[in-house]
Amino acid sequence: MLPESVFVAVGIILATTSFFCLYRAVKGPSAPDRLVAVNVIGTKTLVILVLFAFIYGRTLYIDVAIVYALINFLSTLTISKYLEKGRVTG
Amino acid sequence: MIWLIDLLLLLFLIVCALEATRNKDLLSVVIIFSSYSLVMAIIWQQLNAPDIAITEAAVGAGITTMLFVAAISKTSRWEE
Repeated sequence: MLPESVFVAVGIILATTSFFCLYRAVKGPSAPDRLVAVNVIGTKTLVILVLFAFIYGRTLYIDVAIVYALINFLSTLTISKYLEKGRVTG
Repeated sequence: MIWLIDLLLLLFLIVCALEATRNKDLLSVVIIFSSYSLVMAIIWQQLNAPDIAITEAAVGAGITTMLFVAAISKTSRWEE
């Protein structure tokens, strides 16, 4: 069993490195760059949610992470379809 | 040291909000706003409101982005 400070340190590192992804999302010359950057940010925040659930020892926080993982790919899928076909429906 | 994670995430939110108002490409604004919603879910959870965090993750990150992209596909991508 690792001490709690290890998980807090991992959370700090993940929160710091998500700023580099935000730089790519803001500066990225094309839309696919921003799309992949936001996808990586979503995965990082998912890990941070599970870390908080582990640190506080509350299983309710795991449910938040599950809903988050279920919904996270929907926006990526929609934007990818818009970039490829120019429309969302049909 | 958990406050340091909160501080970094709040800074992230501020940068996202500023950039979403500044950009002229509306599709980029929608993508950046999606990341805003993603991080906001963690902040709700840190404020002891996990039910609102579930709603924010479902509505803010998923449904709102889909509706915004549908609206962009019906109108114009670039702000005049």
